[in-house]
Amino acid sequence: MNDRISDFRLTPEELATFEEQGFIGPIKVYEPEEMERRWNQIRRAIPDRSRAIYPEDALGAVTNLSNYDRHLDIDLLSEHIMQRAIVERVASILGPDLLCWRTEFFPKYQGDEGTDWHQAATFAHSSGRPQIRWPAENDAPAFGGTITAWTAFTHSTKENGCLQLMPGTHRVMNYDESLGMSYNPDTINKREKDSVRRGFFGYDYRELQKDPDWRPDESKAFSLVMQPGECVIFWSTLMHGSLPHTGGPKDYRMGFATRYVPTQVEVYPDLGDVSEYGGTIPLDDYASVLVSGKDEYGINKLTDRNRRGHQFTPWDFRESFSS
Amino acid sequence: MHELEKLIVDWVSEFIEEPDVSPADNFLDLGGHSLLAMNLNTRVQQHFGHELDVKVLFEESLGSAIAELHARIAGEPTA
Repeated sequence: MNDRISDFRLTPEELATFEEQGFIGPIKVYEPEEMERRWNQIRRAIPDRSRAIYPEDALGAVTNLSNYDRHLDIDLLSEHIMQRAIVERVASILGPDLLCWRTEFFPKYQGDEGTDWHQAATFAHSSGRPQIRWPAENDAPAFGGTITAWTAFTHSTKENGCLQLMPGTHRVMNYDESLGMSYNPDTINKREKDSVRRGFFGYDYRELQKDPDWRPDESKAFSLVMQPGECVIFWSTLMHGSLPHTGGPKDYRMGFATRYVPTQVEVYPDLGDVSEYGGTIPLDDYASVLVSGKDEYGINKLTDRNRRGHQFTPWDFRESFSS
Repeated sequence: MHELEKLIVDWVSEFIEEPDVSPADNFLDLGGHSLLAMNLNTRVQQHFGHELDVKVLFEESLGSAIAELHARIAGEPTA
């Protein structure tokens, strides 16, 4: 029946493309004017940390861990992680039972270096400890990762440091996140890699290369220019990075990443805190959010409302997905 | 416009690269953002030993943020 077919479920063709390319997008989540209106409200709400779950002092040289997971205290971000245009597409990929386990702002300001090419499966890359753990398959750790929905809260252009992707690179990891990287904020904005000024917020992602002599094949890359309110959905294991910011002081880029996993994935396994990018955040007040379906595993701490009482009501795609 | 206000408005003008800045303007509406606010506050801190309250800076006018800073420096209670 037509009324059981939803607007955002990926078609078989789109799913096949996603399987092959590792990403889908840009897709429109908000009209540009609506996004500008929302961002204007969000950025005015950010300085009020009275209900934020992490303390204010988790600052690195360029990364503010204190602003991880502000969907747990800013209503418009709480709404954003539940946007059907995002969640239903992600559910098409990962199944109907979904958690949002992390959100992050990704700003680029005048003079900022681009972000190193990278892939993330466990997110141990910077902290040294896996932040998500998929169930084992045949007694071996499953090849995992997260689905990231990266939404352009502002214009995202080649001049202000838009995302870059390498389609089709999501199935093979070129990096070993367990190798560990050294944090050296003095190198920020000072290194060129294949003629592009890049870094990884105080780390050098090349330290994680399985083959130290391997180089990313830039000929496979493309730059993802996006309008405010557009979003790209991609496997975190897809080779991605960003260009340096070469624009003016007011032309900053603001991306907002929402990260999703199925409910059987363990979030922050055996961790009481996260230390990375020069800061540390305690996880005492942390909880994942069930954005669709049901949690039949019970292995993760969940919350059904943000810290201002905004209710998270999970979508139910089970019926439409079985039609 | 008292001296403190003029100084900080001039700094905002410099950081935002916008020649016409008035105390009635809102920092974000002028095109300001978090990093520029941080840079501005680094300079304000260096000169006055106090920073502008970012909540006030983002939500109200420049003049209000500067008045709030002035009151704090003077040790006066704010409204």
